[in-house]
Order: sequence, then C-alpha cells, then structure tokens
Amino acid sequence: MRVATRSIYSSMQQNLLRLSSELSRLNERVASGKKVGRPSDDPMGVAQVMHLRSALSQTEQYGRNIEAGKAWLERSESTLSQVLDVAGRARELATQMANDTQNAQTRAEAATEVGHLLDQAIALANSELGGRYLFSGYATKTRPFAKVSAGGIETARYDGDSQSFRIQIGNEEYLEIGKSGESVFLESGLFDILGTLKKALEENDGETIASQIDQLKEAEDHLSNEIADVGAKAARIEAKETILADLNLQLTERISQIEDGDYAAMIVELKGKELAYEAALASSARLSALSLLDYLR
Amino acid sequence: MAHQRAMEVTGHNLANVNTLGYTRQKAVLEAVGPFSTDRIKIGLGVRVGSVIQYVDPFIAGAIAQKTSALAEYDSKRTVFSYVETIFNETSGQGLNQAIQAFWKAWQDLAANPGGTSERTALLERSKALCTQFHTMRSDLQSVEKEMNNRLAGSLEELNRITRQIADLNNRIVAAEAVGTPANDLRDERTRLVEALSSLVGISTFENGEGSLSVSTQTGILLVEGIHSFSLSQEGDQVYWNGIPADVSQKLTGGKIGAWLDIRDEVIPEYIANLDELAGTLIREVNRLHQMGYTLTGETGKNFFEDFRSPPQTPNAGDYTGAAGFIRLSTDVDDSPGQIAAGGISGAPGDNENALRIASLETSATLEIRKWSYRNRGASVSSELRIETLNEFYEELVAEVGLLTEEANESQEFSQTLVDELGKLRDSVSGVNLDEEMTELLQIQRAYEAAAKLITTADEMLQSLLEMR
Repeated sequence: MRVATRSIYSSMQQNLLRLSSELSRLNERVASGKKVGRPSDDPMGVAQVMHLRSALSQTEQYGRNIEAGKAWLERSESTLSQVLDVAGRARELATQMANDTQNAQTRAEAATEVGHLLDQAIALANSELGGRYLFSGYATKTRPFAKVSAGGIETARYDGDSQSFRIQIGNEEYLEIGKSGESVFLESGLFDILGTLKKALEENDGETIASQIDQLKEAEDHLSNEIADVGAKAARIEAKETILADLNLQLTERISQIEDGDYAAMIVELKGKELAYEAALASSARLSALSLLDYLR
Repeated sequence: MAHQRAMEVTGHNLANVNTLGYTRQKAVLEAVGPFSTDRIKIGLGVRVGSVIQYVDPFIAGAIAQKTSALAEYDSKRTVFSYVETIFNETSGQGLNQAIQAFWKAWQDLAANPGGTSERTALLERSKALCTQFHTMRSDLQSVEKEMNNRLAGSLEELNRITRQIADLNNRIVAAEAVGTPANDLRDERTRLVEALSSLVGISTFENGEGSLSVSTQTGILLVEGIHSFSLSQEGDQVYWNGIPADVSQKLTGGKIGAWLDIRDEVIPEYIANLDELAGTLIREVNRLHQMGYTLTGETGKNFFEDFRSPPQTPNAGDYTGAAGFIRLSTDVDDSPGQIAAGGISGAPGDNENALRIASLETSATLEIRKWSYRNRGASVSSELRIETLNEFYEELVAEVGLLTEEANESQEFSQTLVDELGKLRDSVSGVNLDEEMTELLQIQRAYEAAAKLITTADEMLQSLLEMR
C-alpha cells in the first residue's frame, strides 16, 4: 500500500498520544492505589461499592446504638443487683425480727434500718445514666420515684410511664433495653413491703413482720427475673456486636476488592506501557530519519 | 515546456505534503497527435493533457459519516466526564454520603431522643443534605445551559461553512465549465464538508456540473447549488431558513446532535430522577414525622417544607423541581425541639417515631418512579419501583458511569475508524515525499533528454549551416 508521508507522522503522533494518555491513567491509579477513580471506570462496581458503603455505615450505626444500649443494660443490671441486695437484707432482718424473742426496743432499731433500706431502694430506682433516668419509661427527664406516705405506710409513688425504650440493632431488628419503673419496682411491690415492714416493726407487730418474709421472697424472685432478663439482653446484644464486627470486616474487604488496585499487577502493567512508549519513541526517531532526500546529493 | 508544467505540479504536491485534506495531483502527459507527411506518421511531442486528482469518492463519503460519529461521541465524552464529577460517589463526598449522614443522625436521635445536641446535629445534617441536592440540581442545570450556548456557537459555525460551500460551488462550476478541473477548490470544499460533518450528520450529492448539494441525514437542505440555508437558534428551538418551526429533533449526529441529546434527553432525565428522589424523601419523612410528637407534645408537624408540584400531564403527581426546593419546614428550622421523635407523647425518652423514620433507610416498601427520557424528551415515561432510596440512587450513579463508559468506548471506536479511513484516503490521495522525488528525477531526466535533443538539433543545424 502507498503510504503518504503525512500518514507516517500523524500515526506516530497518534500512537505517542495514546500511549502517553494510557501511561498517565495508570500512573494516576498507582498513585491513588484505587482501581476505580470515577463511575465510568467500573459503573457496576461503583454501584456495588455505594451499596456496600451504605451497609457499612448502617452496621457502624448499629454498633454505636449497641454501645449505648450496652451501657444502659450494664447500669440497669448493677442497679437491680443492688436493689436485690437491699431486699435480701430486709428479708434477713424480717426473719430475725419475726422471732418472739425480739422486743419493742430491738424492733424499733430494725425499723430505722428498714427505713434506710427503703430510702436506698428508692435512690437506686432513681438511678441516672448520662442525665437520663433508667426506670422512668419514656419520661427520662422525670424523676421516677418519690417517697410518699399512704395510711401511715411509707412507700414510693411512680411518676414515670409504662413505656420501654427500644434501640435498633439491625435491619428490622429492635431490642427493648429500657425498663419502666412500673414493671420492675411497682410489680415487685418492694416499696410497699418495706413500708409495711417498717410500720410493723415500729408497732412491734410480730405477725405482720412474719408475713412480710414470703412477700419479700416473692419480690426478690421478681427482681431476679428482671436481672436475668437484662442479662439475657446483654448477652444477645454482645453476640450481635460480634456479628456486626464480622460483617463490618467482610464489607470493608469487599469494598477493597472492588475499589483497590493490585499494586503488583498495576506496576507490571505500568512497566509494560513504559516499554511500549519507549519503543514507539525509538521507532519514530528511526522512521523520521529515513528519506530518499538523504541519498540524493 | 510540458515537463516544466509537470514539475510545477510535483512542486505543488511537495509544498502540500503536510496540508490537511490535500489531494495529490498529477500532470498527465500525452503525446501530441501525429500529422502525416506522405506515408510516415510522426508524433509532434508531448503536452500536459490535464492535471488530475487521486480521489476515492467512496472513502471520502465514509470519512464524512464517521467524522460525525466521532465528533458526537467526543463531545458527549467530554460533557459526561463532567457530569460524572457532579455525581462523583467514588470520593465518598457525594449525595450518598449526605443521605447516610442524615439517617445516622436520626439513629443518634433515637438513641437519645431528648438530647438537644442530637436534635441540633440532625437539623445540621438535614441542611447539608438539602444543600447537596440544590448543588447537584443547579450543576446539572448549568450543563443544560452550557449545551444551549455551545449549540449557538456550533450553529454559527455551520452557517458560515454552508455559505462557503455554496460559494465554492459557484466557483467550481464556473471554472469547470471552461474545462479546467478546479482541483484545489474541490479540496477546499471537501475539507469544509468534513468540518460540516463534524457539526451534524450530513449527506451530499454532486451533480454533473460539479455543484455539491448538502443536506442533513434527516433531509434538511443546507446547500443547494449556490444557495445556502441557515439554521438559527430561537430560545430552545432551532429554525430552518428563518421559518419559525422547531427542527432540532431532526439534527442528529456530530457536535450539534451531541449538544441536543445532552440538553433534551440526558440531563433532563437525571434532573427528573434527582427531583423524584428528593420528592420521595420529603413525602416519606413528612408522612412519618406528622404522626410523631415534638418535645412539647405537638403533633402533625412537617419535617421538610411540604412540596407539591402543580399537576402536569402526562407527569401528574411528579416532583419537578423538588431537588431544588427541598428545605426544612419552618416548624423545625432552628427549633430542634420541634422534631417529632416521639411516637406517643413528647416525653424526652420517647424514640418511637425517630426509630420509624430512621428505618426508612432500609425500608424496601417505598414507591418511587424511575423516569426515562427518550427521543430528546419527546417521549417521557416512568416506571413505578418499590425499592430503597439508596438503591434508586445507586442505579442512577451506575447509569451515569455506564453512559460515560459507552461514550468513551464509542469515541475510541470512531476515532480508530476515522484514523484508519484517513490512512486509506492518504494512501490514495496523500503525498509521499520519496515518490515525488522519484517523479522529479524522472521529469528532470526527460527534460534533460529534451534539452539534449534541442542541443543535438542545434548542432545538426549548425553543421548544416557550416556547409558551403
């Protein structure tokens, strides 16, 4: 085929331009370490990465929710254990004081201690975490229990509501981590029992004292159940945390697979292109030196 | 004398070795017919019969066609690469990021529904999201405007070229009527046709007199004989020869085709889908937000300013303009307490509604319309989807990427074709220095021989004269 002189130069030019643009693109990739720089580099990959990123951001958020939930559950558990101890001590006193060998004097002393136990139990029921009451339902800014006296019996009035706080720990997966004071304390009847016990002790009423022992036992059982429930939730939330951490790792890996370049492969490719570029330069130099004109003088 | 003319032609070739679109010429020498003296016929020598061009009309036609495609994809590629940066999600700075931050802020609020800092953070994230929507929409609109400006420039260029072609038609017909092939004028006309085909897809026809008529591939006449017909821009419309009827639908291929495709089809589709996304977000968030309770126990409040576009047929109920409109409602703006996080009361620990709104992120029951613009916006259709907002947006970004990738590939393909065709044409029409040099040597030798003949004749005459 005839080759026009202009074709020789223009194809030299085109080849060099093409190679240098490929070189610069490769260079960009090596420098950023990313295979995908813009959507058109891999449209489907970019959509996938976006999807994975959303999932990653969600698992991170669930992780944050779980952190907050864990603190809440831990605090609830330790508070309830302390309340259980209070109930235990009250039962111990009641058992001791129910004995007929006790007199009005010893029972009055015990009444003072039971009074302290009641105050302690109310204080525990009013525990806060980060400025929010643990046991007031949704009314987290309202102190849930206030000491009142009804018919000469000291007890506590509940000012919170009956709602339980939920958090999201996964897609469509929620966990109740809040407990309303109603279900924990009012249902156990602990405050009423302590109030009744105190009054009976003050009045040296052995029969009523004895009747509170079983009541206290029931209240302890109720509290133990609540603690077990909190413990089970803490275990579930921790298991979920591990799952989320795994998921997080998987998602990060998959994103990296799509997005990140393989350095070895990229550098081999870069070297290859460099060689091609040098070869093109060399042959261009040779070709442009060849001309009949050189031989005609 | 004939050889001098031939040498001039070769010199012309040599001088134009680098001229784009120059067609190699050759002086065709022919023997001058014999005249008879008695029985012996002797030729009278040589003369330049004509100067011909080496042209393959088939290749020229193919080049014009492929040049249109190349210019179209080249233009699209440049614009799409820019559009891609508007949507750029690979940097992690795009709309996707802003939407995620928005949902996260709702989750944080759910974790502490009474917290002022969580509420304030949510308002800030929401404002950032609105700004992101506004920026993207106005960026896309400015691409639309830019296309209109480029269209105006390209039309001006087109009118200039068609005028020149008409003028050349006049001169070529005049020159060739007296029998001389107007080689260089033809070259210039071919160059102009090529330039024209990079503006819009055209087809050409040459009549017997050498006049070239040019029309678009869709049959709009641009040049006929010595007359050219202008295309002018009136607003968004293009008029032919000043007649007020839009012919823009008929301008396909080349740069003009690319500008119109982008202006009337590609960008409007993206804007429609972005509006749909913003509109759906407003609708869904508000629907839930109205059910919730604020910290002060009020209900029925909007989170985003309510957006209802006036009903438009055939897109009744669509969200045209929503992405530019989206903003916080006057209820919640600057009043973090007015965010309805509560599901049953305004209690500071009530997070039910915040949880509901946060779960919109993964809710796969949202109804959202995916808009498609075809035939430059002449047919607009939509498909009802049930998917998450994330999925909708991901698809949008993937489409931008695909479109750019396709334009890149088509551009590279047409570039290769045009390059190859160009080489093919040059192999017929291009100048090769070595060839011209040999040609030159050949002519030189012939000239020398002719000169020698004269010297010999002269010497013979001399000898004759010297005889006494």
